[in-house]
Amino acid sequence: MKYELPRENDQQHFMSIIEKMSGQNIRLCYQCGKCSAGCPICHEMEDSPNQIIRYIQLGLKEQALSKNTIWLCASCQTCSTRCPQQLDLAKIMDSLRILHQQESLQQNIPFSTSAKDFGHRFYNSLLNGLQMDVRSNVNAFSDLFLKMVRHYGRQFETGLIYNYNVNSGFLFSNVLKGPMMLMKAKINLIPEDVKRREKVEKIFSKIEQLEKSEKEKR
Amino acid sequence: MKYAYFPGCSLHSTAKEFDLSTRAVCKNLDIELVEIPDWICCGSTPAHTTSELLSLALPLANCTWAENNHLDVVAPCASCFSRLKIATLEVQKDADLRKKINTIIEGNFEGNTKIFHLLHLFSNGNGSAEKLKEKTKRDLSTLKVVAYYGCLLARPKEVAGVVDVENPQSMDRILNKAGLDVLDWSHKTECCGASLSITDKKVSLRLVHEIIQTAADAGADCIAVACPLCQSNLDLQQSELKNNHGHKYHLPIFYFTQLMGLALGLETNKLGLKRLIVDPRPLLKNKNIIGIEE
Repeated sequence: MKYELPRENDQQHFMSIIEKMSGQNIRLCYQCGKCSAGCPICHEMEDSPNQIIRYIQLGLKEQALSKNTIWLCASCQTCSTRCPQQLDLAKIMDSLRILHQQESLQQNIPFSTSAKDFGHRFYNSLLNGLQMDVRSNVNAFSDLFLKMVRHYGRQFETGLIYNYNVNSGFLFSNVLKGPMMLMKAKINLIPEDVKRREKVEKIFSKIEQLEKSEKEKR
Repeated sequence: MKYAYFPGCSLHSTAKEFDLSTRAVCKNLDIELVEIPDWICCGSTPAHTTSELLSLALPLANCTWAENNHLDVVAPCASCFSRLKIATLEVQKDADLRKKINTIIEGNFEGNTKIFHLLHLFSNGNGSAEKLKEKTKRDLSTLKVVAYYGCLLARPKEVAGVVDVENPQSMDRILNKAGLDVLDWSHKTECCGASLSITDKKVSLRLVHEIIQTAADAGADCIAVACPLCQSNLDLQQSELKNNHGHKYHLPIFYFTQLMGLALGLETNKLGLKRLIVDPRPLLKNKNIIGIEE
């Protein structure tokens, strides 16, 4: 593989952003590869975790952010626990995801709570077909998960899965399990009534404002 | 003993049986659980992969109530426990961050309250384990079980509070005290794929298969877990797997509290056994642990 390395200042710049976000000294990594040897999902990754760390050290931002690696990471913490230099790799993966979300135009995943709106999107989804890529799946899942929490105060699994399926185009994925889970009373059809919903909304909007002003300062 | 109880979203939906059996077992062992009023979601993994502030604010909004009422928190869900404890540790280390979070949640959290996972409650030398052994009514010695901890009950070390991250023992000890035949095996702390079961099914199935197959090869009749996501991944996806001979697996995935409850002689309907997808009742009847009609 052949990469053109950025100038030294740019190299340092990208590494220092990630170091600041994650609180980790990425220079400490000497590429022993123990993180990748223990990673349960390394087989499916385009680049292994230690390669991602090397990209950061060399300032290769595009390479570090574009691989499926950071989206497949399940935050199992095996790498962080075993690193001989005590680097918290899972935290670094979090930082890369957050940076990616901040820099790409955040795709706004539609989210519906009414049947009519839902039907409309269901139809559109039939027309648009499948989105197979793990990055957009993980993004959609996280985004919808947090939207549910923001709206209801707690997770509402039925709403999450249905919104997620319509968005990803996997319309019937996990749906066959729905009746079984309903029978076993494992999922609720109606979200729980949390009395502090406004408080949750306040937490979300305050953080949004804070992060926006911090970003503008940078 | 009295604790602030944080059930978390899963225990009110996909893992109701974990909630049921936790309450039943704690009551039997004289541990009082006070559910945090109007608790909110801890944000789980989507929060810490989206915004650090959010991943601290959501858990601490719940811990504040416990601290104001001078109670330590107990959470049965591995992910809730991990998020609550990490958030508490982070603001203990950093006073500025604590101020910032307190402004966001409009609270006054100091970081004094302790966060426990349910496993700690029965294994931290407070006498519950001995009580469990004394009060055992059903003989479960014929039931061969492996203890599956998954990720967040073993890692990171300072959060999970384990001696050996590669070979945790708390659940093994509890199940031993409950009289089960606890087997040694290799996949105690392997990852089940967490929410990849939704976002990348193929990867998740491979990981789940490795765990199920290893447990079966070790000679286990069932697996004991202490995390709702581990449970649902191993339980729900099991019907899609086949072993080398083309046979389906039939390994019930119990919450460890259900097994404790069985040992304590509690009624099966109080433990939510019927709610498990892989029905454990044929196995339990076969071993004469429960009656034919139950």
